[in-house]
Amino acid sequence: MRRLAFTLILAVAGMLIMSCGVATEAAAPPSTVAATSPAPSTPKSLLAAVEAVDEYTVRFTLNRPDAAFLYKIAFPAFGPQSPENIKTYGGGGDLIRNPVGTGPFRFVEWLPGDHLTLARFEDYWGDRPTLQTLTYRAIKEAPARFLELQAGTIDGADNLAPDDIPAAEAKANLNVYLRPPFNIGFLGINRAHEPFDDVRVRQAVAMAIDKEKLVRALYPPTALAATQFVPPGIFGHSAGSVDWPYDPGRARELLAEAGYPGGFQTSLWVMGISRPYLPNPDRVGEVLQANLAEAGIQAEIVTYDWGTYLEKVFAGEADLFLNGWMADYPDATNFLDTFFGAGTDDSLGGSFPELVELLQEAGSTLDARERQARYDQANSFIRDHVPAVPIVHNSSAIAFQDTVQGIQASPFSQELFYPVSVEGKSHLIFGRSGDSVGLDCVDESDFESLMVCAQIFEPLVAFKPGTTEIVPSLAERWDVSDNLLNWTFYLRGGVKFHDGTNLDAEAVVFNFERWWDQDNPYHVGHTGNFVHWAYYFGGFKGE
Amino acid sequence: MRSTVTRHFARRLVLLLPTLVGLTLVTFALLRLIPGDPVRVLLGEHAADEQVARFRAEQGLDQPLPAQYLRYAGDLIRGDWGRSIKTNLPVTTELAQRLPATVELGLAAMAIACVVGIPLGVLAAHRHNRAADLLSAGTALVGVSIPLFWLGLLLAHLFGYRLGWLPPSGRLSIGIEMASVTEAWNLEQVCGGPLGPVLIPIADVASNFYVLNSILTANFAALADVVQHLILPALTLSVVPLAIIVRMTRACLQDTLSQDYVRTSRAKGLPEQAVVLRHAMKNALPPIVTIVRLQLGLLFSGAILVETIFSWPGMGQLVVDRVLARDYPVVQGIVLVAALVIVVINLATDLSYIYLDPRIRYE
Amino acid sequence: MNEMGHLERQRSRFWRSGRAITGLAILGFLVFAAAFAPWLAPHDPYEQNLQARRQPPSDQHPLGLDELGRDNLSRLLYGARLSLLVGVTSVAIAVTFGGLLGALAGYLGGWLDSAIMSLTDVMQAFPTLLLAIAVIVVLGPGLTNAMIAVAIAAIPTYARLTRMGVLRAKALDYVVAARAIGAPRSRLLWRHILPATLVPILAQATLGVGTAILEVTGLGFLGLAAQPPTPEWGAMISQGRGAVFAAPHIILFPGIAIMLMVLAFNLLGDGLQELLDAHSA
Repeated sequence: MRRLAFTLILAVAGMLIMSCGVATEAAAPPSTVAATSPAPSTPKSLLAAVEAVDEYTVRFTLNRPDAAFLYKIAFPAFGPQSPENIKTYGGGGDLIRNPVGTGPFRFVEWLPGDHLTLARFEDYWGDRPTLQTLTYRAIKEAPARFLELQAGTIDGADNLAPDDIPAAEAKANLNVYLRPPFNIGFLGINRAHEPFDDVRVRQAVAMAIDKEKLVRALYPPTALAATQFVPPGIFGHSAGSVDWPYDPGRARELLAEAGYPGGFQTSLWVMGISRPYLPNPDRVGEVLQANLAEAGIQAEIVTYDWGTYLEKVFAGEADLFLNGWMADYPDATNFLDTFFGAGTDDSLGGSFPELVELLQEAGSTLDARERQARYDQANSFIRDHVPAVPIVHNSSAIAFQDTVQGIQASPFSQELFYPVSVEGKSHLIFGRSGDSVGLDCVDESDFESLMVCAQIFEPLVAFKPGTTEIVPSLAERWDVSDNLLNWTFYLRGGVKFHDGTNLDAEAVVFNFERWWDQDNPYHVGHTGNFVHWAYYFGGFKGE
Repeated sequence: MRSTVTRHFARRLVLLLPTLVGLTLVTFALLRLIPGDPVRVLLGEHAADEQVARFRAEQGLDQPLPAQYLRYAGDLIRGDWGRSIKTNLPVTTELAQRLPATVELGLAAMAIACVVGIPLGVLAAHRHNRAADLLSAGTALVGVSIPLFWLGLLLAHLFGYRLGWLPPSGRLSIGIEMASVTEAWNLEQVCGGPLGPVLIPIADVASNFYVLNSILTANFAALADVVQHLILPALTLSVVPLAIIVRMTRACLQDTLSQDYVRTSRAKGLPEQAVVLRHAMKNALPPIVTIVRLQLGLLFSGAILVETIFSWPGMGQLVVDRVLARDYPVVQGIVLVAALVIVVINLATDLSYIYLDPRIRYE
Repeated sequence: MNEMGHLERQRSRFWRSGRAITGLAILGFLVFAAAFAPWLAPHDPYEQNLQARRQPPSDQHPLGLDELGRDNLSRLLYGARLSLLVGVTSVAIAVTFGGLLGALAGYLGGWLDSAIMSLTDVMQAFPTLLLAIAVIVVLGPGLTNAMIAVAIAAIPTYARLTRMGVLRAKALDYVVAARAIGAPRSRLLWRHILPATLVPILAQATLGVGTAILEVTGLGFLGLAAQPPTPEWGAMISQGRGAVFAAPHIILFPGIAIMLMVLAFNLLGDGLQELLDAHSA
């Protein structure tokens, strides 16, 4: 009895103490409703309208001509989902765990952090996959993935550690596929945090890093130290550009000029799982930390798991951070606009208006030479102002047992499994570096989510597997007006969603409206940000 | 005698209450001790102001703390433990998915520790000489000094990856089909009546215990696979309890073996085996049960590291994963469940003393 | 008086315990290595050599190089400092606070006793590593925070121990006698009660350092304790996970080091425990 009484007294005492320490929760002042800004003269949104012309015809009207529009539409995340399914989940909530598309594989089950399983869609309109089931297993460490591949517990492994590639190539029963280095790994600098608002400090950071040594030590021989953001081989790459030299002495001088003769303290954010452009981020982080220390910058390493990392970095919480990008399509807009164009997140502390304009112009110019000239200007601008330091274009590697046939290494790191077969069995287990965050892919930014969506959803047009060529997918053919503003797609008939409902123009329009229109009742998703829409289409309805 | 036992039982139950209140206080405090506004901690720094205000009102976080606590306690009892920030699943669902895996691992580890440890301890006590002393004491000491995560790494790599004798990770090989008890016995059809809503959830939970499930569904291929996956992690986890059990068994047994009544039995001419087994063991058992009960906390702590190494999808791995993901509702849930399980098992073992130790009966 | 000869007897028994001597010897070696690390370490533990990553042991680098080409031996030595410091400090904190609580509870008794016992009951219901992780959730990762977390998780043990010791001492004949003749309370506490409780606490604390080191290295392995580039033993093992076969020396030596240090404290603590048992028998 006594003990009971004392525990209760302790409880009350504890709560009194806590309430003294915690600031009283004053009623939050009503947030002043921001006056709705009038529709801007130059809309951010690429899309002006989308409509169903008839049962199987969809027309997109753009606000400005876009040379890369087909590439953007071909992005797997823009594959339509069954409207019935979307409505069932109210456009959000458990929708991220119950995707219904038209693709060759349908979703079966997902044990978060462990594995995600897909099964062949028997009523698929095209060639049915040979595989009956496809399972993605999340194995965080690259060496563990390689070990399991050797042990035979998985049939394929994503993102091999560079240290393991020679060993994998030496094994007779394994096939290694190197993807072209269509990616970029970089050190982002948040200009909104002092002292990084001073361009001299940012330039000092650029000169403190010994890229060559880092890349040679921690990356496979085919990887390249990056001089700019656009990898060689992708349109927009500026040949012959001059990069900042590795010069820690000069870096210290610059810091002194900027008012930091003794250096300063800051944080370096490093993601917790391997990425195609950063297969071993913790190593790279430590090397960068040592580089910065030589220039006098003491950086404390901060790590979060991938989902949280992205959230916080995008919200602008980090000072210095590692990040990167894999090509979704082979154009500079995919690399530069994502980070420096309109509608970007706050990770770099804001955008440069001149750069935004430059990129927009370049994106809507049709003459290739003019475009390249503009991109050369943009790349120069980026180099001079150092919003981030490009570090590496990695040639990421995947490996499979030699019983696996039909793998095409994708330039966009999205291998499709419908042409794949495994000798002697009908299921394939693929070990990847992390788990998907969610399967409402326009509202996800991680690669593991997109990988799965690419099997479940199909866009209107697609890339021929293993290439950058556009071929029909859900649309049999398409038309474009001369001014490149009106794009009409003719859908094929007889396509069903995994839940049995029909694919028609209404369904396609339903999906696009859901992503584009922030007032649409189903514009809920996972975070509500629909980042891929913002990246690719510039902005939302009315912006 | 019955009334004494029930009185003892009742008293123990009443003493349970302040502990339970205390446990919930600790988990309640966890979220509020983290620096910053709890709402922003849960929703993220950049959540819209209106979102924050709405969430605060919905969750009652604008109420005074005691009211908040009562609401929290009420929610707990009703089974609403909140939702995971990372997966949006109810915390209870996530815990229910993961708890059986850890319990299975813990039981297996304890089984190994007892089955190997007790005989070793008995042997050492019996052969009371320098060699046995040194050996048992030595192994025990090394056992409690080894870092578990290191041992697990070595075992996984040696037997799992290098030699390939045992699977190095996971609970079940993908591709091995294992139906749940509910499916295999067709419970949904069979137990349609009033017992259904009770039996089916129980069957569902039982099917998460893979060993039990494979036995109940007579799926022996799955059983073999499951046991193979269980061996390495359970072995790693068993090292510390094993060491302690060996030492304690030896010490307790040595003590009892020198007691008067044992000498009398020996003098009476009873075979050595009977002496050891019947008299000595029965009296040495309560301290051994005590040791087993004290190991619980240690087992869970060890499970955190072992599950991480072997990618065993249990609560230990969950806690590490969700701490790194700042998924506080789930972390709160795990802390509470772990403590609850320990408290309940302590109660159970306490009550078992009533049977094992006749002296208590006559209190 | 009585207790003086008592202590002397304890001391001589201690020196006859084989375990205690072995433990002390190993510990001595480790403390020496840790204390003189800056002079013993052949290289800078932070200096990276990216061209020579994962190099096996050689003349220049007796324990080889790690994932980023840093000298393992130097890192091990500096890591010994950290482990010792963190282990001993966390136990010191736990003994101080726990001891205070326990002494108050045992000596003053009454409602304070019940209150403190409820508190320890609750704290002991949680598995220690989990409690430490919960504290890290509140404080954030870091070596100091890990030390505090482990200390907090250990407080209830020392509170209980001290309380028991105080209760027992209170009941001892000479204490009762001293009170009967009116000796002041504080004198009783300092000259009679505390010395009697000292050895059991010391024994437990020594064992406790071993446990603390295992817990802190465990947290380090999980990435919740020291942040890079600190050469903490648990973090070193975690870093070497990728190269268990390619470069086994990276995880082998830190693991052996941890085992050795914990073993030393366990041997010492056991020795002290033995002497306790002999005394109470």
